[in-house]
Amino acid sequence: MNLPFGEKIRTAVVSILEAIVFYILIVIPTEYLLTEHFSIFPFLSPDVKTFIFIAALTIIFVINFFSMLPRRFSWLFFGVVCILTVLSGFGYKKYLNYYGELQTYPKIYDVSHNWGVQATLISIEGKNFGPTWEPGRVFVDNLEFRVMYWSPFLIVVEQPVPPKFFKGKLYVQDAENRRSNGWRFEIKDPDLLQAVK
Amino acid sequence: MKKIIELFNFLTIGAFLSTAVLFVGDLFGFSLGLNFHLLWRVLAGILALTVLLNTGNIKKLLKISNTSKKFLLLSGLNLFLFALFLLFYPIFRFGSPFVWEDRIANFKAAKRIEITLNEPLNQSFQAKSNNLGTIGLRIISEDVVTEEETEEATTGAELTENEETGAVQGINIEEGELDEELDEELYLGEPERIVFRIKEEEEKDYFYENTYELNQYWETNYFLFGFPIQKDSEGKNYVFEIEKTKEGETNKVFLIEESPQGSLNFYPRYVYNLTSLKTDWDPILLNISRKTTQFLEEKTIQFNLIFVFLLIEFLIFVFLKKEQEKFKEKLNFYLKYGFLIGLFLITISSLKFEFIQNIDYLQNAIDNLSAYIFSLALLTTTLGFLLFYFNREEVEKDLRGDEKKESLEDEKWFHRKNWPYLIGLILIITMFTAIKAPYFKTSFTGEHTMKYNTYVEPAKYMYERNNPFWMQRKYQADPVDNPQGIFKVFGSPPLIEWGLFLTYKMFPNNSLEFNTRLFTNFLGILILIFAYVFFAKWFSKVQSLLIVFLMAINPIINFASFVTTGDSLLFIFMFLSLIYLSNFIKNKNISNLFFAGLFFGIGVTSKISLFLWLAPISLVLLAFYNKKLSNFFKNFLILISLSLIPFIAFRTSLRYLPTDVIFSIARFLVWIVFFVVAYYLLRKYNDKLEKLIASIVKNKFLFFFNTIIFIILAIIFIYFTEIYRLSNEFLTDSKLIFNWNMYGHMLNKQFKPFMTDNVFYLGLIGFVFSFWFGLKRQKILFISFFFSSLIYWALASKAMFFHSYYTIIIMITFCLSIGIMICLIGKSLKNKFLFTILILLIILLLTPKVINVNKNRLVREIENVEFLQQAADYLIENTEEKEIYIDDSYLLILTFLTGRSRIEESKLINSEIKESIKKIGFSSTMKKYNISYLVTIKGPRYERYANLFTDEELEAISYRRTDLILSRLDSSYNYFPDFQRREELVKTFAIKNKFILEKEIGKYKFFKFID
Repeated sequence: MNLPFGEKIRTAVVSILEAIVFYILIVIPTEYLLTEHFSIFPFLSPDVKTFIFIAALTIIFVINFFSMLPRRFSWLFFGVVCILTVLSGFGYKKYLNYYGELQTYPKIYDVSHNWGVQATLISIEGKNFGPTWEPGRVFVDNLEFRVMYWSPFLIVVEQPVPPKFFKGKLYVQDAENRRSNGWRFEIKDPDLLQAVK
Repeated sequence: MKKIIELFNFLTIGAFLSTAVLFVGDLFGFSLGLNFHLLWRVLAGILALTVLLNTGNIKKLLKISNTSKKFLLLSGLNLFLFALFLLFYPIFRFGSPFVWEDRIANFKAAKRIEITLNEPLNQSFQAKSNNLGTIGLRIISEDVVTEEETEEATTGAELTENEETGAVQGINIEEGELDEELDEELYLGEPERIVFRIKEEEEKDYFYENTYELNQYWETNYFLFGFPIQKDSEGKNYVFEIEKTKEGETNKVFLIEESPQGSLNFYPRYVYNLTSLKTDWDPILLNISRKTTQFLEEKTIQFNLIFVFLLIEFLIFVFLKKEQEKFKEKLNFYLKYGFLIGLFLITISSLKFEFIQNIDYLQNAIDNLSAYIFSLALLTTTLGFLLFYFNREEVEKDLRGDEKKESLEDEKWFHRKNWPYLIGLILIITMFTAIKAPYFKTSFTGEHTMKYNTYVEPAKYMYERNNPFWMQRKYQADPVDNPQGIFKVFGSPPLIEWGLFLTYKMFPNNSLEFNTRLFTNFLGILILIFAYVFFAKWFSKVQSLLIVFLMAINPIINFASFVTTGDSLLFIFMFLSLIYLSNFIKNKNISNLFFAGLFFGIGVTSKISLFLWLAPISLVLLAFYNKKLSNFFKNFLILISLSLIPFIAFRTSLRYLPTDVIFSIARFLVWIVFFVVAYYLLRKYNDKLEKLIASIVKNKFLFFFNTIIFIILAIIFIYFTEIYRLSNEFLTDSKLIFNWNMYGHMLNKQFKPFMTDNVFYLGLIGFVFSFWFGLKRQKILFISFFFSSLIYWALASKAMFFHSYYTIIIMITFCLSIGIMICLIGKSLKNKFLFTILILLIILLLTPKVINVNKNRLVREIENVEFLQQAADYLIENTEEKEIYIDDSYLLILTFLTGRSRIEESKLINSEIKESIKKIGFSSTMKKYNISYLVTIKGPRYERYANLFTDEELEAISYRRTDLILSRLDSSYNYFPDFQRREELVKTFAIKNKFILEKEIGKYKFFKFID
C-alpha cells in the first residue's frame, strides 16, 4: 500500500487529465444538445457542472487508486492521456468560440401559449434578449406584437388585432436586429373560439 | 481503516492538484465553466475530513518540539488578525454600518457608454432592503487631468521689476525664481450638466429628479445621487435614468461601464439613521455582516486574502527554522529560482507585446496574471527579501570587498578594468539621447511654450543682435512700463541663454528647435556623467551604472532635459558639489569643501530652490562624517556661506551686464579676487578656524551669542535679497503643510504616473532595503537623499503640484533606492549569470513602460500648427512692430513667429490703465497703449477683465496656488469666491460688447476693442 509519493502524484495527475477529457468529451456536448439543439433549458448551471465534474473526478480517483496497486505507472498511458487532453482542449477552445457566438443571439425556450387572439398577453422565456432599456421587437411571421415588458430573460407581449388568422412562427428580434429561433404559433379567430364553446 | 485514510490522503492531494490545474487552465483561458466557490468548499471539506482521519499522526507531529507549538500559536494569531481585518476593513471600505452599499461583485466591464446629450441611460434593479436613499454610479472621465495638461493659460505676474532703475520692487517673473512657474490655468469653464431621475418600475412618474454637475476634475469614483429615503423599498423594482442636458466646456468625455449582461456599474445604497436604530440594532449587525460578505465576494480579494494568509504562515515557518543550516541551504535554492520566476512572470504580465495579442491563450494568461499581480508581486518581494536576509552577512562582506577593490582602480579612470563601465555609460547616454532624438525638431508649440519663451526668446535676440548681454522677452511686455519687453538686468545668471546662444552660433544651419534640444540634451548628458562619477564614490560601479540607467530612462529627467528648464542646470551643479563633498569626506582636504560650496553657490544663484534639497543632503552627510561637533559646525558653516556668497556676488556684478558691461565685469573680477583670497585663507587658517569654533562650542555664552548673530545675518540676507517674496507662490503654508490629501494625491496621481507604476512600487520596496541593509555609508547617502526629498516635497509642494520637473530629486531618490535593492538581491544570488538575468529582467520590467510614458510626454509637445502660421501672418499684416496683443489662451509662440509683444490680461490691471479707461474709454485706452488685438482660442474670458472697470476689490487674477490646489483636490472648493460678482460686473459694464470678433483662422480668434 505504501506507494512512493511520486507515483501517487503521477497517478493523481493522470486522474485529473482523465476527468478533464471526460468533461470535455461527454459533459460539454451533452450541455450543447440540451441547451441549444433540443432547447430544453437555457443553460446548465455552473453548480451542476461542477458537481458532475467533482463526481467524475472522485470516481476516476478511486478507480485509479485501487487499480494502480497491481501495476506500475505506465508512461505510455500517461502520454496518450496527455495527447487526448491537449486535442480535446483545442477542440473545446474552438467550441467555446462557436458557443460564445451563439450566445449573442436571442433564443426562445418557452412561450406561455402557442396560440393567441387579439389582446392576449404572451410571456416569452429565453435568453440573450438584450437589456431592458434596449427592447427589440416580437413577430409572428410579419405581424408585430406590442412589447409590454422586456428583460434579458423574459418578454411579455400583447397580440394586436391581426389582418388575418394564420399559423406561423413567433420570433424575437433584439435591438441589433438579431433574430431568435422560431416558435410555432397560431393567430386564432376569436369567433371560432366562441363556436367551440 | 488504513486503506481509507490512505485513500483520503490521496484524494486530498488530488483535490489540491485538480484545483491548481483548473486554476492555471482558467488563467490561460481554458475555463471549464465551473463554480470555483463550490470547488473551494469541496476542497475544504475533504481537507477537514483528512485532518480528522489523521488526528493521530498530527498529534505525533505536535509533540515533537516547542517550534511546532510556536508555529501553532503564531498561526492562531495570524488567523485572529485576519478575522479582525475581515470585520473592520469592509466597514472602512464600504462606509459606516449605518449604510449598505449593494455593490455588484466581480463587475467586469464589457463596454463603456458615453453620456451624450439628450440620450438617457436607464437601469432597473430590485431593492434588497428598506431605506433606499442613494444610487452610486461609476462615471469615468476619460481624460483625467494631469499636471502638464493644465499648464496652459497663464496669468501675469503681480510683482514686477522696474527695469529702468534695475531696482527690485518685487520678484520679476521673467528673471526671478518664478519665471517658469506661473503658468497654470485658472479654468472657469462650464461643467457638464446631467439629470438624474428615479421611479418605481410600475409607476408612470418619477418620484425624484435633479440636475447635477460633472466638473472637469471628476475622476473615476462612484458619483452619488441622493434622493428622499424610500422606507419600504425592500422587494420593489426601481428604474433610474440619467441624461445629459447641457454640454460643458470641460473637454472631457464622461463614460459609464456596462457588464456583458447589460448592467451598469452602479449600486443602490440603503441608509439608516441613528434615531431609527435606537430600538433595533439588527440592521447594523446585518449591515456589518453584509459588508464582510460583500468584501469576500470579490474573486481577487478572496485570492489575495488566502494568499496573504498562506504567505504569512510560510514566513512564520521559515523564521522558526532559520537557525537550521540544512534547511537554509535547501530554502536558498527555492528562494533563488522562485524569486527569478516570480520576477519573470511580473515582467511578462507588464509587457504588451503586439504579437501576443494574436495568440488568445497567451493574452488570456497575461491578462489573468495581471489580475493577480498583487499576490505575485508580494510573493516575489518576499522571496527576494528572504533570499537577501538569509545571505546578508555574505552579501555585505562581498560589497566591502568590491569597494576595496574598486577604490584601488579608482585612481585610473581609463584602467583596463574600467572600460566595460565606461562603455556601459556611453550606451546609457546613447539611449538617453535616442529616446528624445526623434522629437528634436518638434516645434515649440506644444504644452510648454512658456519654458521655451523663458530661455529661447532671450537667446534668440542675443543671437540676432550678436550680443550675449542683450535681454529681451517680448512675451513679458508691459503696456505701461515696458512695451517691448527689454530688460536692463539679469534676474539670474543667464547660463542657459548663453549656452543656447553659443549653440546657435556653432550650428547656424540647424533649426532653432533642433539646436535648443541639442543643448538641453547636452545638459542632460552632463547630469548623467556627473551622477555616475558621484555615485561611483559611494557604490560599486555596477550599482552606479544601474542608478544612472534608471535616471536615464526616467520620464521626468528626460523631459527636463528636453524642454528648457533651469532645473537641469541645478542638477549639474548639485552633482558637482556632491562630488567635491564626497572627496572632502574621504580625504578631509578643505579645498574640496571649498569647491563643493562654490558649485553649490553657483547652483543657488541660478535657482534658489536648489538650496532646499542640497542643504539637507550636505547637512546629513557632514553630520554623519564629522564626529566632533566643532568640526561639523565649521564645515557646515563654510559650505553654507559659500553656497550663498555667489548669490550676492552675482546680484552686485554680472546682474547689470545688460546695462553696464564694464562696471559689471570689473565688479565680477573683484569678486573673483575675493574667492581666490578666501580659498587661500581657508587653506591656511583651517585649523585655527576649527579651534576657534571649538572654543565657541565649548563656551555656552559664546555659542548662544554666535547663534544669534548667525540668525541675524540670515535675516539680513533674506531681507536684502528679497527671496522671502518667493514664499507666496513657492513655499508651503499652513493650509497645505498638513494636508495629507494633497500628499496622497501627489503620490498617486503625479509621482506614480511620472515614473510609472513599476518604478514606483519597486522604489517603495527598495526603501526598506536601503534604510536597513547594505553598507553603512550607502545607508547614510540614501538617508540624506530620502530626507532631503521629503523636506523639499513638503516645502515646495505648492510648486511641485503643478510642475513635474520639480520632482527630479524625488525621482533620483527612487532610482537610488531601486539600485541599492537590486544590487543587494543580485549579490545574494551568488552567481554572475543569474545576476545578469536579474538585471535583464529588471530592465525589461521597467524600460518599455517608461519609454512609453516618455513618448507620450514628448508627443504632447507636438501640436497641430496648420493654422498657426496663418494666424501669425495675419497678426504681422495687421500690426506694426511696436504693437502688442493680449494673449487670452497661452499663445506665447506668437511672439516667436511675429516679433510682436504679448501681454496677459493681468498686466492690464494697473491703476494708470484703469484711470485711462474711466476717462477715455476701453477702446481708446487700448489704442493709447498700442494694444491692437486680443488673440484667443476658446473666446475671451470676460470675467477676468472685470477688474479693469471697477474699483471694487475683487480677488486678484494671480496664482493663489494654495487655493488652486485646494480647488483641484476638492471640487466643491470655490477658487474664485467672487465669480458670481464678476459675472454680474460683466453684465453691468457690458464687457462682452467691448470685444468684437474680427477674424477667425482655424481655432485662432482675433478680437478688436470697441466702446
